[in-house]
Amino acid sequence: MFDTEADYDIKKLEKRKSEIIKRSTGLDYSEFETDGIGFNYNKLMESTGYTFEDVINIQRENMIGNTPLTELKNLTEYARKFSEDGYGARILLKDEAANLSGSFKARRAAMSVHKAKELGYKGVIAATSGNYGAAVAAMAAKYGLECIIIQECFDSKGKAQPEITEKARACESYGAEVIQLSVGPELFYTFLHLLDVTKFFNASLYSPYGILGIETLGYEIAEETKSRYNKFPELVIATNAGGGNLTGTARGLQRAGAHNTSVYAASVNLRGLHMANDNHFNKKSFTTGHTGFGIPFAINPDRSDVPRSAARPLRYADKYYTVNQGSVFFITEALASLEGMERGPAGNTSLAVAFRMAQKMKRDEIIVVQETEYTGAGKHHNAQLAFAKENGIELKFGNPLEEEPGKNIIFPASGEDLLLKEIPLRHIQKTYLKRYMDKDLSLKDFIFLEQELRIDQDDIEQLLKEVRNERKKR
Amino acid sequence: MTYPKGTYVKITKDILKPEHRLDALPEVTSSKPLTGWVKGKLLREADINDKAPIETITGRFVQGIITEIEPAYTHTFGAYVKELDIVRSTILVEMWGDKNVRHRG
Repeated sequence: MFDTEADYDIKKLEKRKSEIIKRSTGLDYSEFETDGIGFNYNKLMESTGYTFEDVINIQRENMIGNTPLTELKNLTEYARKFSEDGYGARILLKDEAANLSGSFKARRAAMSVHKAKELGYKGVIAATSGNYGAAVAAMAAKYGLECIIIQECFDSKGKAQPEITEKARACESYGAEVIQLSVGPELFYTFLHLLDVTKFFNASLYSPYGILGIETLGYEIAEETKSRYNKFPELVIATNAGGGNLTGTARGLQRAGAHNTSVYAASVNLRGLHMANDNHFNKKSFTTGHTGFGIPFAINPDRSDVPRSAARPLRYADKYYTVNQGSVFFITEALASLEGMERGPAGNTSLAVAFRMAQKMKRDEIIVVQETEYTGAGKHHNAQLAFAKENGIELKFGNPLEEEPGKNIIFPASGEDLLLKEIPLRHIQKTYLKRYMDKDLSLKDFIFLEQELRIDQDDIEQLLKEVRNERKKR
Repeated sequence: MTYPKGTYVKITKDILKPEHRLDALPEVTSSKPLTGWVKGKLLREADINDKAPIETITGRFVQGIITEIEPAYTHTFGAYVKELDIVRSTILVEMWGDKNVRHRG
């Protein structure tokens, strides 16, 4: 079989999408649909066939989970230098780089690849430019399955993002085939086409398997904090892109009974850079954990590679903060030079947010930063900054909130100047609701939206009214 | 010069022509083809820039233009970044005090 020339026709693939997804996930998503706009989220999450104990066992067998939760005493002390008396919460860090393949993504990959093996698939495919690829490839290696990873890697001039090049190397070291593409959302159709011709399993990041796998992370954080500090953490911060990290962690915290622990989303602010723009592709210093994924996936989780995403961050996030690129590099350097931990950088987005939040919280309170990731050639913060300079990005010191992504990177001149920007959840909820502004919503629809957005019907109606009024003004 | 069958190479091919791409893409993106790169072993002898079929590690057969023979990993930790040195000394001075810091910016 020669897979040649014009590979596929988007329109034809679009028509066969649900058939391909059904065959490649082992899930019939139509079973979760209900009347109206919604679907049964709980039923989707219960469709995996795994108990929580199964998940723990599968992960343990594969060197996943039970990662160290370490108190960052020096970094906490550093934050306290800029805090008022009695303030400066303890910062704890879950060292997820200790997982097989070097990131928390192993927790997700373990469940997907285990399911693929159980169902008798010959191989797995994932569309990812990030750590998830390495995680799937490593698990496929353990289970003796073929693996194909599809990356968006090059701009049309053939220039690769060094971080993504490193991920390709990691995948290949685990025996995966890596297909690298130029910029564009048609990656999804290349993915569908390959699922179709290979008959491999769709190891989607957004399947219920992938989210269930992260619940152990939230659960471990709750249990370990409780046993060492005699209470659950006040706050857990998750770096947010596709929403799965936050969703799974929050569900795990709830499973452990940590109902009063707040969960904040953190993303690198890439305002002004268009994700499908070829010229913008190599102007960014973060390939994940940024607003370019975080916001669109919060507004519409179902834009993912399965019909209904199991990652639904608005159901769980209590607040959403953004931080600039320069501040994440700053905190990455602080983690290395004060704690002796060379990690990240993208995974340190939540650490940058924690550093600032700690200054506003009481000394006896606990913040948990719920992940780290391995670092290496290409993805190291020095590599990313050198690459930014090559691409004409100016590096300077000053007010991080004035950073213009794609033009400059602004480092805080002091730890005190590391500042955050909050995106009010109300803004995100409102944008989420835009697509329903001309729709007659039923009672059932409102109940679904209440669960999706965690606000009541009156609030939803108010937001819809605001959206309609704004349209009139335009 | 040609390389024998079985040589490890990287090939490229255009997967979608510009006119077959999705609507509503920025013009800089939609004006170019969607291009792919993949590595594998030559199924017949060929030279760089030739169009040739390969077998990938998962056993797929793909045809494309050879861009590299025995492709290498060349990504690095990057050139010296002076600004990062300043960041580091800022952190150390603020944390431990000026006198105790050996590496000053």
